[in-house]
Amino acid sequence: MYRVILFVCAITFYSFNAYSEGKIDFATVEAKTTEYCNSGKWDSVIYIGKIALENNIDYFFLRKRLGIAWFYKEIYTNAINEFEHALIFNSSDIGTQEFLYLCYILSGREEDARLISKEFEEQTQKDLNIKKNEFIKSISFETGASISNNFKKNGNTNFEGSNKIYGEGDLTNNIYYSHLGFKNNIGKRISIYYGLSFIRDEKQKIIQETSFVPGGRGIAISDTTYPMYGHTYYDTIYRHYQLIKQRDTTSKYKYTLKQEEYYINCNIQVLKGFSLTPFFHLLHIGFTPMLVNYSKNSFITTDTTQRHSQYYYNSTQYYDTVYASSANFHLNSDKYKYIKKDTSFYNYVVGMTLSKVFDKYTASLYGSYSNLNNYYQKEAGISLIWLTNGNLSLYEGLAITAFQQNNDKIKLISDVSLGIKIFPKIWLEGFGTYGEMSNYSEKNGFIVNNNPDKITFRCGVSSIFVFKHFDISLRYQYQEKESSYITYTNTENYITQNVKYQNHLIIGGIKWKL
Amino acid sequence: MGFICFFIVLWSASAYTQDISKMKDAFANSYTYEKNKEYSTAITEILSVYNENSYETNIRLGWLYYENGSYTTSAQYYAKAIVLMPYSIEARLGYILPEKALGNSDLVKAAYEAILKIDPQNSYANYNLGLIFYNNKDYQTAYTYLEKVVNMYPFDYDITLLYAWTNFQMGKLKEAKILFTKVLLISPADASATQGLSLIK
Repeated sequence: MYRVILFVCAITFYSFNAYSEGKIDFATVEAKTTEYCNSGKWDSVIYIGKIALENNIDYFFLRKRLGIAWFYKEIYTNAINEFEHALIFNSSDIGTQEFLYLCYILSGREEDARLISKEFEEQTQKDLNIKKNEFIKSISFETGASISNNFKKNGNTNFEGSNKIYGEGDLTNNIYYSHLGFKNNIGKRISIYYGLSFIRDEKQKIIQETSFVPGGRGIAISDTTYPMYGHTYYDTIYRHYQLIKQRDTTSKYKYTLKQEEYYINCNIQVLKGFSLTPFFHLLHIGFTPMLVNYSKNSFITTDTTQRHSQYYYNSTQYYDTVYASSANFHLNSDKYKYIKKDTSFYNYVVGMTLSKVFDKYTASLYGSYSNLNNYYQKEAGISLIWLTNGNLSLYEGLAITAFQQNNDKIKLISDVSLGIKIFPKIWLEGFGTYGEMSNYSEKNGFIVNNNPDKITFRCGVSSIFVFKHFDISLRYQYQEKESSYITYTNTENYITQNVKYQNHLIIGGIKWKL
Repeated sequence: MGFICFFIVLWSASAYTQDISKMKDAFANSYTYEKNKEYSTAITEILSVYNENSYETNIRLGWLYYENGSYTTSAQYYAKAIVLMPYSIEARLGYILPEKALGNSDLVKAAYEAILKIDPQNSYANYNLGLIFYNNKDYQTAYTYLEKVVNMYPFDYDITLLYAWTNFQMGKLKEAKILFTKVLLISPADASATQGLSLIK
């Protein structure tokens, strides 16, 4: 009996020693991984598997078992790597394909899941609840408002400044938004997302002007005494003349900017883990702004002078005579004409994104070209998202975009994000963006910040509830914004000045998964 | 100088004769050990004379490691043998054995296809590729391989039966019926052929 125990101990010690030295043979790998896999000892499967691979022992069943071990440890990115490797050895193994499909779904790679699922047999598709003809994959609807303090905070700003000539500002207050979108699948590699958005901006144009305008007629009376031919004349002069007065006016004009947007992107899954997404966004903007037309008003005015003269020829008697004369003068006044003008125009954004998955990382390169508000913009950027735990329980993202408008200086905009699964079906996401965002498009051109006011900083938090047939999202975003107004320093030149305000964006959305 | 050359040649010839002798002994011993299922000892014998440029030692080790259940090592030695003799069909057929055991069916398929590039009429490769494609439900491809081999071996049980089922799966019921009937001529009480005929009726 003691001999048997001693023998078992020796064998165990030998095996342990062999593993710890990193040497192992095929038979041991096969036996141990099978045993550990069957008993659900996933760490042991992974431990033996790693040693096996280091010893150049690599085959289908080993990779499949390693994949299964990572799958049950919920580290799906590692599982994907093993299952993809297993399929190189045996591409027709249904079990491996099913596991790989689930790993793609659970790590957010739905397009890759769809790509491989099209090759599945009917029964496998049924087992995995994959719908056969899912032309319309999902319908999304979201709506919300961006509540602003711009009118309240900056509505009474002195736009004219101390020069008291002219100043104007165009303020944007609350913004209301709604969007309806559809996602269609075409074949196994292509999916198209297209949608329609409506945006309403509450706007207010504030015009402050100090002008010189005709202000009625005035009378000036003056008495004079002067000697003439040895006598004394007493004259009273009545002068009737044109008055010019300074008028300080503030005009506030509220109007609505309406924007309809048409968006489309096409995701082409070129290879497993590699996609190409061209996108196009067309914006139709319509509003009736108040335009101000300034001119100098030149007019002719007549000054009339009456001279009432008294000439005394002794102490009590006098002659009384009245003389009248008139003269014309040219006078200038300021004339501001307010014109409402219906304005509408189209803007667009066009671009492309390339994405590639590397294990836990998804790297994207993107670029776009746009024409917004009569300026041309070019954007190029890179983004990286990584699944810290190899699944969707914790993910982080970083994006840096270089932005140039016309030939201005290139600006950098950086974005950081973090997502956490807080409950089995609830995710919480947070993000922050630094940099000046004006006429800036993002998220494959889906979001276009074409409001002329700059966003200087923003951060937000979203909660996403994932259910079987629909997802619900609730998003909040805080925005620091900057609006500019003009102040004339003299009749020819003006300066642009900034006012700051804050927006609170709240959007609720629902996505039906058909 | 001529004297030195003579000795070098003599020494080389002597060494070569010794090597051949050693190799003969090692191979002979390995056959004995293999017969007694002492595969590890058989492997040790061959390893003692192993030369990585020797096709014979590589292919022998491939087989012995396969018999020993060391499939990954077996496949590595067979792969070395293939590199040394690229037109060797036996090395490729040997390579298929461990790869099949490892479940690496894509590598098996690739090996059969490589055999057909060397020998397009190889019946074993044609039949097995037909079988692989049949199992993958790619009946059209299976048909092309099996059609070739059934003409070479029209009265072979396995080939005729698989060809019959392939025809059945492709909806060629008339041909399938004839083929199942033919299988019953080869193996009169064959269950698979009887089942095939009952499905056609």
